[in-house]
Amino acid sequence: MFNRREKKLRKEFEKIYDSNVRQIFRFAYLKVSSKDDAEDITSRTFIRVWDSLKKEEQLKNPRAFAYRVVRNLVIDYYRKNRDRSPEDSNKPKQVPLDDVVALDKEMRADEKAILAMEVEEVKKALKEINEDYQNIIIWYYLDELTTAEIAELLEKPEASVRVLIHRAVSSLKEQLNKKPKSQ
Amino acid sequence: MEKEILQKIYLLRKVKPNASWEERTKQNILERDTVSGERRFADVLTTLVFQNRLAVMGAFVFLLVFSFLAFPLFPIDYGYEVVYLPPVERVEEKEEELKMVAEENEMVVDVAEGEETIERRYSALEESLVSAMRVVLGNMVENGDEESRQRLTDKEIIDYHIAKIEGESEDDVGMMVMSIEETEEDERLEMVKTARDNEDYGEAFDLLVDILAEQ
Repeated sequence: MFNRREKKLRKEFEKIYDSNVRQIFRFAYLKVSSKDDAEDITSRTFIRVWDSLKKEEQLKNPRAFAYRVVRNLVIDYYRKNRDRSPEDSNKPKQVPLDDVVALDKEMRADEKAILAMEVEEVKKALKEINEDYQNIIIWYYLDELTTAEIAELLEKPEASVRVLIHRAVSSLKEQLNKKPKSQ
Repeated sequence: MEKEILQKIYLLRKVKPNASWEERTKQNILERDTVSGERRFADVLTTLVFQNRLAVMGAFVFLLVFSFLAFPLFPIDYGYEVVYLPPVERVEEKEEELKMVAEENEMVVDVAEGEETIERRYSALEESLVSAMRVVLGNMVENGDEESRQRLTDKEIIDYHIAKIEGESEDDVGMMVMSIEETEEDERLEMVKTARDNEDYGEAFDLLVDILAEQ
């Protein structure tokens, strides 16, 4: 049986979860490239959000808090997997495409395959660039955070963030234009 | 070119979690807290007890010892009580005893019917009984006339009868084995002496009458 306070907190948490879970999952997935690991990191992120919400009763900026947590968890993930061989860490687990990518129902199989290939290409290129650039691209272009919000997350001035956005895109472009290594 | 890059970046917007996983995870997080919340009290209590186990054991031992020591201070009600004879019945008993002595010795005694309270009547009856016993025992003294016997003190009468009983016992000194009755008589004689020494002449007369009645 929950008292009124508990009910209020649960409602608040559900609101935070529903509005941020996809962004947090995407962020984690683009960083770790494993669906299972991404789900684990996402789940742990929201557990911490819930624990903090209970403690503080209100989070000033839940989204920023969740991003800080998931970033730290990703760093921990990299530390733990440092000893793994590069081949193992880069090799993604085979998962059904519609498990991680939103597909249109009308898509044909070949269209799905092309989409999967393109997504994989961008993902790989993203992983090759500087981590701050990765984060900025994800937050600005995919999650649609404002430069002010990104500045708060990176603890940098807003003007610097605008410069970083520009550099991040250039860096990704450079990576995408690199010719693949001959097999 | 910039547009092309952005289009590629926007492809990543399609990355999303599995819908059922999304809902399941939310419920798991909330339910996880419910379960731990229910266990929280037990966990906290267990931790407190375990971390302070010496103190908890000490408190338990103290309570145990205290309950044993404090037990006598708080007597348990066993459901029965000692009943003392009410004064009225004791007075009736004393009156009966006095009447019996008077009847046996053809004496006239004062049963103290005029006393106002039960306690006063009881005291008066005891005094009458002592007086009657004195007369009875005095009459048993062989030497002296009526007038002389009446002048004898209670102590003198008692001493006379003790000496008489002891004198009769001396005849049995030669016997190696004394009968049970003689052993009991000795004990009662000792009790008579004790009562005499304590100047409780009423008690002494009572005991003498018992001894003499059995002879």
